[in-house]
Amino acid sequence: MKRLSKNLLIPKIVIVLLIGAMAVGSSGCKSKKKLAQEQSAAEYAEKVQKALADLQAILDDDGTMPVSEMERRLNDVKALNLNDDSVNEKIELVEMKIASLKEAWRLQKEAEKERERLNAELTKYDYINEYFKRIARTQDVNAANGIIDEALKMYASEDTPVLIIIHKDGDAVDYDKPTTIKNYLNFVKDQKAYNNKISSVKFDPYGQITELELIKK
Amino acid sequence: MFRTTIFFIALFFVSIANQAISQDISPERKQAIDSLALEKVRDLSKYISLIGDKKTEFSEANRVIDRAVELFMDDSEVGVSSIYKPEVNYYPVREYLERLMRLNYDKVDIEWYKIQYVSDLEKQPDGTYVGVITVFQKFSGYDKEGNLVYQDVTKKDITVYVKRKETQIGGRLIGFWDVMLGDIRVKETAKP
Repeated sequence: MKRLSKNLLIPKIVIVLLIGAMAVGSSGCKSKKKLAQEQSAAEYAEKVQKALADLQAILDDDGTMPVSEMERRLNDVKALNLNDDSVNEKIELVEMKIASLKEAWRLQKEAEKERERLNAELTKYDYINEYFKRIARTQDVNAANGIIDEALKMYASEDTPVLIIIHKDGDAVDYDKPTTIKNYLNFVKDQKAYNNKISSVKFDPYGQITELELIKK
Repeated sequence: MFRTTIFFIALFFVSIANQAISQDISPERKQAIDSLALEKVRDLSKYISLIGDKKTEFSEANRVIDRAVELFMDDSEVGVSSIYKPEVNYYPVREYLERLMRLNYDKVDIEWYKIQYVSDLEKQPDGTYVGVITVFQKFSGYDKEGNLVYQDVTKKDITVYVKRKETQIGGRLIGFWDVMLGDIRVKETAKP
């Protein structure tokens, strides 16, 4: 009887020990998970804070950061997929800032191009203007007539029309009475003054001027 | 009802007419036309000086006369006065300029100054703008020794007509302002 009860006692102890071990093991597992969760949450919070700081740095930038750098930082933040409201809000603001900077840059480039085009346009006809200026400056009539003959070679004929704009308001253009290039060159000689600038020039296939449009300075 | 309809139709046309009047040329455009007319008088001043200048070659003077005549309306006249005679003689423009070219002096200086509007350009019912520009002309005639033998200052009034016209150039319709000078009337002549 004593032996039987002894035999029964051993498995009981083993079971208790097993239950105990299981209980201890389970509670250890639980705290590890929690730890991992806490660690992950801390990491996430840290990432959010860093993302917010990076985005704010872009928003606060007063022009020292290149747009390409802003875009790189923004893309890094977006790649984190943080899905945080405050981060998303700032991403939107940064995107707006980058878009406006890009637009301003585009407009600036366009303005530069337009300035270059106008400068090129202005200097393009310097050689034509130069004849008028030389004639206006020349005191001797025969010398002035020589320059007129030389200048006339650039034109398709002595009767090439010369239009002089006296006023322009959008598409509405007012001209002085049209004249011919020969008369205009003589006019410059007589008045000893050239107070216009070239607005446009038309050429024939041989490169000769077929119409000259001037505008009052 | 019929009367009311007629009234509103009349009102509509009156408002359109008023709009047409108010849509007259802008002040900037008017300014450009004023300047253009003044400029034509200045051009004439230079032509007269060249024609009177004995150093101007005959062929050049004749060419300039042609250009000067182009500035005037047909049948315009120019008054000629002297400090020795009270009357003013009027000559057709070309005749005046040719007489000027042949004046019996060895050297002639003609200077126009104080060129300004005495009566602003005003729109006439036919659309022409008419104004009066006044000028002072200082005439000096010298003999072959270079002595000043005659000098006067004449105040002259020039009527100017400016009309909007159109012409085709290179297949394009060009709207331009044609400035034409009318009579040049002598207002007063005095010794300088």
